[in-house]
Amino acid sequence: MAKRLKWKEYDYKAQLGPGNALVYRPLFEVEISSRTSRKRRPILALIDSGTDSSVMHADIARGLEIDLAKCQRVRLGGIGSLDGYLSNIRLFIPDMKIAMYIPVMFAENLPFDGLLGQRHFFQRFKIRFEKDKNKFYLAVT
Amino acid sequence: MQNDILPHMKVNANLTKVLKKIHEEKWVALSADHSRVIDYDKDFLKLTTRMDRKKDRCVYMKVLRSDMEYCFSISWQND
Repeated sequence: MAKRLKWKEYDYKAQLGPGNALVYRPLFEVEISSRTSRKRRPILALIDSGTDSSVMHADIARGLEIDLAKCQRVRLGGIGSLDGYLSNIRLFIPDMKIAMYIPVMFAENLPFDGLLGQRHFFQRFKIRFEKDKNKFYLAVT
Repeated sequence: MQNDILPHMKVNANLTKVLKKIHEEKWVALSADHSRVIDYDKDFLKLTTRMDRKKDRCVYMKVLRSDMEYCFSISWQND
């Protein structure tokens, strides 16, 4: 018997873009915490299939009392490049009550709070984008 | 493969009225339903300290400039 997938439906978030055009982005609420601090920070991260791993703003690491000086330094490259710090975090999906422990690159000057990339996040969920409806769907694999 | 679509808590998806020019390139604390900005600051730690005191449930977001086209594809390597 075919496995029944239980998709959760989400709306793309509308924001103003260049020329006051509407830009729709798949922003998704996740909660970040570290192993060393009891602090938890919910953020609206962008689901980004163009990013290999998950990347977060370095301010979030400082907010979780992660000592970046003790983290492995990494270089992020793509269009432009950034220095980053590798650390393990707990990523919690409040809407699904799912927690994952994943390595994240914390980078300074990231224009977003977080990017949920291919490794770990896309491996954990089935993700369906329906851009024509500005909806996206997640299901647990 | 059969599919079910599950309902979930409805939150505001239109941030155009919620986020203003003054919020751009800053951190904002959105209300739990994403319908209003509770507080904002350029400094994330200052914002989270204030929000921790208020004990309101919120979600943080770094607001991109509205005149900026997002294009940020990343890979990484060890140093």
